[in-house]
Amino acid sequence: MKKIFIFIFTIINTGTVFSQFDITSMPEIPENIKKGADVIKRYEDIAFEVSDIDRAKYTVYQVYTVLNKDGNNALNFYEHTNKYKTLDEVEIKLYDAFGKLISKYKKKDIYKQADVSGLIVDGVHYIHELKAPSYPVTVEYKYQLTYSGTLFYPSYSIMGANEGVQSSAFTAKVPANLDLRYKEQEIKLQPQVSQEGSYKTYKWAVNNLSAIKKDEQSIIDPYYFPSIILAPNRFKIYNTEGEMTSWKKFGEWEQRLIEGLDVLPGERQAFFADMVKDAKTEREKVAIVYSYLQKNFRYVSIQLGIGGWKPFPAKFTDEKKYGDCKGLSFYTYSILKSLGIRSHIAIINAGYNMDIADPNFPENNFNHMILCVPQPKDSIWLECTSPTSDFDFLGSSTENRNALLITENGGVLVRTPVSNPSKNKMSFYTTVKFDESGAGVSSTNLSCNGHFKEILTNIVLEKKDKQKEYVVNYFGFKQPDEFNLTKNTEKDFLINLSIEKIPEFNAGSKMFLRPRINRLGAAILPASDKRTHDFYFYSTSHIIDTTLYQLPEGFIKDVLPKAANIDNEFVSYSTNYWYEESTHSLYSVMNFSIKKNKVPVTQYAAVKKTFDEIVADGTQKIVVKRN
Amino acid sequence: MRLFSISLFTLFIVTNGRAQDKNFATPSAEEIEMKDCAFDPGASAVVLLDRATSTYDNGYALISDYHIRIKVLKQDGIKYADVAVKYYSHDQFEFLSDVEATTINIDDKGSRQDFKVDKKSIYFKKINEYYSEMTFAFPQVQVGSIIEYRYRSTMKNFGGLRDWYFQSSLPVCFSSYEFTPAPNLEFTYQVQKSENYPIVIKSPGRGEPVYFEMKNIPGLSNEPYMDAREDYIQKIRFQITKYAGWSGSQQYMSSWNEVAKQLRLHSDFGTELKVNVPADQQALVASIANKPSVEKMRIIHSYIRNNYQWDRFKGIYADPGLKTLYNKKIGSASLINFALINLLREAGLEAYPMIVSERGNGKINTKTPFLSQFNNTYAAVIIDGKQYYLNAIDPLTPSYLIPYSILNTTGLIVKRNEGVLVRIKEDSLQYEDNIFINASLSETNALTGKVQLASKHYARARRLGDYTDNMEEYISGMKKGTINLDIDSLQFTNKDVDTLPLEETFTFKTGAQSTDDYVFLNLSMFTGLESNPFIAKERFSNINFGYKRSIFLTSMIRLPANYAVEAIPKSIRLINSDQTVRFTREIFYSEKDAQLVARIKIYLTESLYGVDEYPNIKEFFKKMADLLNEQVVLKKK
Repeated sequence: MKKIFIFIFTIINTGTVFSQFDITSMPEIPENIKKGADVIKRYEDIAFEVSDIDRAKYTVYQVYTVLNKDGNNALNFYEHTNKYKTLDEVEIKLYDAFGKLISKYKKKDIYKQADVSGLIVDGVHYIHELKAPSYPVTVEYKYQLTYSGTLFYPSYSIMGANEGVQSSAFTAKVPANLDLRYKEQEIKLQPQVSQEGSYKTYKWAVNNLSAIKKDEQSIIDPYYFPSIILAPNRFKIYNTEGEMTSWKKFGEWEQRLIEGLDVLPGERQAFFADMVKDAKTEREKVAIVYSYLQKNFRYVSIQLGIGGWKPFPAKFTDEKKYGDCKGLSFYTYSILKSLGIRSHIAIINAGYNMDIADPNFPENNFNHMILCVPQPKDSIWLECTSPTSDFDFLGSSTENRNALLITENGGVLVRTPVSNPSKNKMSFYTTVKFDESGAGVSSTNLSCNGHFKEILTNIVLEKKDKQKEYVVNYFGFKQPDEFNLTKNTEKDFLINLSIEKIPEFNAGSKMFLRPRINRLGAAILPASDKRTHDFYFYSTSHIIDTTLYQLPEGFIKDVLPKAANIDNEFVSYSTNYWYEESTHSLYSVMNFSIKKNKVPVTQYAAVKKTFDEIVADGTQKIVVKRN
Repeated sequence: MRLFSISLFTLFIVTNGRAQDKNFATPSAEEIEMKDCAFDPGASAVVLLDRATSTYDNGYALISDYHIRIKVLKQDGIKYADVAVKYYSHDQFEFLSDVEATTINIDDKGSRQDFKVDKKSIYFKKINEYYSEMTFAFPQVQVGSIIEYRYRSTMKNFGGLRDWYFQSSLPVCFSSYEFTPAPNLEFTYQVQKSENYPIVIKSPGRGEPVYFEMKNIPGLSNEPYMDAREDYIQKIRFQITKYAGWSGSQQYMSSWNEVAKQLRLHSDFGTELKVNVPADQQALVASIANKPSVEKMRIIHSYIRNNYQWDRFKGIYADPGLKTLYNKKIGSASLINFALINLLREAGLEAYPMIVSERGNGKINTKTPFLSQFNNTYAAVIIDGKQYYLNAIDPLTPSYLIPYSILNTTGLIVKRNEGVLVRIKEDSLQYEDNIFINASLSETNALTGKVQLASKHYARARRLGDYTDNMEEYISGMKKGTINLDIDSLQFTNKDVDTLPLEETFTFKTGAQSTDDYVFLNLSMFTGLESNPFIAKERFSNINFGYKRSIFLTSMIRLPANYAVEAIPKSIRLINSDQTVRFTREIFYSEKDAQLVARIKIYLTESLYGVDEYPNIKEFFKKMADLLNEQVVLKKK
């Protein structure tokens, strides 16, 4: 009898205590997994157990073997916690190549630091970085997190960059009435599903996966590597409940959070009504309101508790004249509402490679909020946190992707505008005069919009020596002896330089000049061979440059670079050069545009090649010689 | 440091006197009118007032009242309206109270509106075990707003006494500090200031507080190869010299020998070195007993740095003690260095703690034995009369090389009854790169070749460090000067033998630049010196390269038969007036072998230049960048 009893006891126990990897025997790693890997996930067993709508536990057991320095990331323990997610226990053990214990750590040994990513935010980082005395080295993690809010379910992240996987399993156990949703990301992997009593269990397991490299400038990590993304059907966070079964339902939760917060005092409503009274169209009114916002409000990151999703009331923002993205977007929404203009706050992912909201899989993976003002044709989109952004210009961090509009009927997933290079444009017109010694002066009229305008606006605010550093390091002008940058209008700037040596170099009776006095243009793209994922440009843009060289007395043109003309779906580039005898001047004109933000992997090699050609074309020289 | 004077004062005082700051939110007409800062034009904001008074209460707690008034002058100055004040909250040592903050806006018609920061918008948060932070955001802030706040800090005792900074990154119109020490204290202070700015010091008669005041100090910004911001900032440094407590009076350091003696007796310093080393380390020592001393040092240094983890804290003491470290294998930088010293001694080597002030922490004033000038403890080892300085948390600097972090600084070696000041300078070992490029140009303008790169001493540590930190960035850094460059088959030799030069080899491929019948060849690839770090016209700080540098580059390029050499950059020698920086370039073309050979040598033979040398250094680097960008011109036959 006794034996049987113990047997049963053991079975019950294995429900919560994992079978463990035998580190002391330190089994061999198969060669096919080692190939291209810096780190091997030897063994992983993760359990995510939801016991109620506001209660879950996440228990992790992991063993990694780090093969070399480049795999050191696996030796770093990092966890972010907050009011709805706490770290209960941690045990970290480090073993040498023979499975001998080197050191071990508990929660109290781990460095703890408050989140200071914003001025007023909550949350704590736990950070522990181990050192490898030699390689290979093996680390074992055991830890547990408790959730009292379920807006986010953890993902089953199967592997990271250059990581081979020997054996890994992830179990999610949820009350059957809540259930969960999952999405296969970059892998085909069906779970074993079982039901026991009122709980449903999903179990995913993988064995023997080879390492994968990360392509540069591709989609962010969690959407690049194989993983199973989990999301709740119903959730609770900071005493608010919501449903995530559809974007509509998820939007309803956000809509409930903002309800009643949009009221502005009567006198403020009158103030805004007066402010826009002369505007003829809705668009003009919105532009006036946006300009008022930019001039009078500032971004301050304040996110505490539910404040991570719920904006401050419009009245509060109005009184303080500051707010985070939610506060400022919602405030603008409230002003427009008081003027009878319909708009919607839009939840979105900011980042050039973050087009990740899936129409078929609602999840809360957002990090930003903007505002959309629907129009019969081409809605107006506003980035409310920037004092310098153009009206109705989002830029590469929020264009070309799905955003969740919050409407009175819940959430609606819509696309933000496709990037338009003409909204992010910079034109230079430079006149260069120089003498026989090569010394000269240049004068550049620069006009720009979009991000370029924001950059220039910020540079002009800097002190003179800093401005000079930007002009040399960012635009690639030659280092000047005298320097002057002035702002003529919002978008027009003047750069005057005196330069000791205008030509790149002189040889004999010849001078060799750069095709343009600055160095703006195409940059080398990452290698194309073995690329597996789409490529993202940091932004689309349009650069126009005219450089006019007035030649010194006695010099004439020797050789001019050949004109170039490239135009395809993704990029256009053209140059032209001519010599004007009457004014004794050389003209060099360039027109360069990145037209689309994303290049499908199948077309990447061709685009890379085009860029190589453009870069090579830009290294040509203008040759002038003594007459 | 020519322009800086440092003076020392000793004070005996005092009775309790306290000036209450009644001038809150009362900007002057001049302050209201101000549109730009006259002594620092273009500043984004200006500190109109930065005032504090420190005194004590019945329990001899240190009580300080701070009062700050800032005017926003430009759009990017609005960020100063987001305020974060750090304080030392470990064991409730310090807390902040009586916070008051107001935005003052005055419109064109002169009508004034005040907006208070309400109490519930002021947040207090623990940052880590030691520090907390008070944060708040001023409301209604625009260009032209005056933002003003004050608060009280209460510390358990005068041990928390802080230095007073007159200067910040923003210009400061008026800065004052009044200090009334508790009757059981004696203290000294040190003034660090430029002779360009006058200071007012109202110093004691007995019974009076000491008072410091400076006006119109421009903002202090950072510069490339700056030795330490701390060295240029206008400030007062304090040190308590005598403290009368319950158990009688204690005299504090009055000479460096006294400092060393007290440190040696300190329970978190000298006595820590009496702790036994653990068994496995004893075994290590036994296993290397027959090796030469220098080799012993290298092995022990390597063992300690690979086995202990740094917890991100620094300081000069060994708390919470070696026993904890041996057990947990994690601790502060200084604690790990104590483990290093302990093990070196176990192996019979002569090793001492050396307290240091690392580069960023600022220079030591050798005339004032202030412990607060130091920020870390390293190990000093003496073998056959030669001194070595080791830092166990520096992952890559070989044992024989002085860590970059303390080059051109002063340290204090804590011996038995003696504090030995050492000027830490590396005269013989330098940063040395030897680059050899062997390449050929094809008839279709493809330039392909092989590079061999040997890096010695600091170059070795630097390159390996950069490579380990971020391989991709390291490679793209090498590509920087050359357009359209592919690097392949990068291999390192001697990566793990830190006494040998690091050898790198790789192959490369690039398209030679061409226009029409001309082809251009760059002969200074991979030097990393194509751009000048010195662009600013003005500079206020010394140029501290840390180490000396030599870079040798040899390029051999074979040409195809269909090209003739049109022009070759001149062989040239560029030197500054005192010959401490030199650049030479020799280029030959051998028609017979159809081969170009270029030899470039760059010597930076001083590691530290005074600020008055800046125009020369800047000009040299600019000319050198120009020369390095000169190219060979070929022409199709």
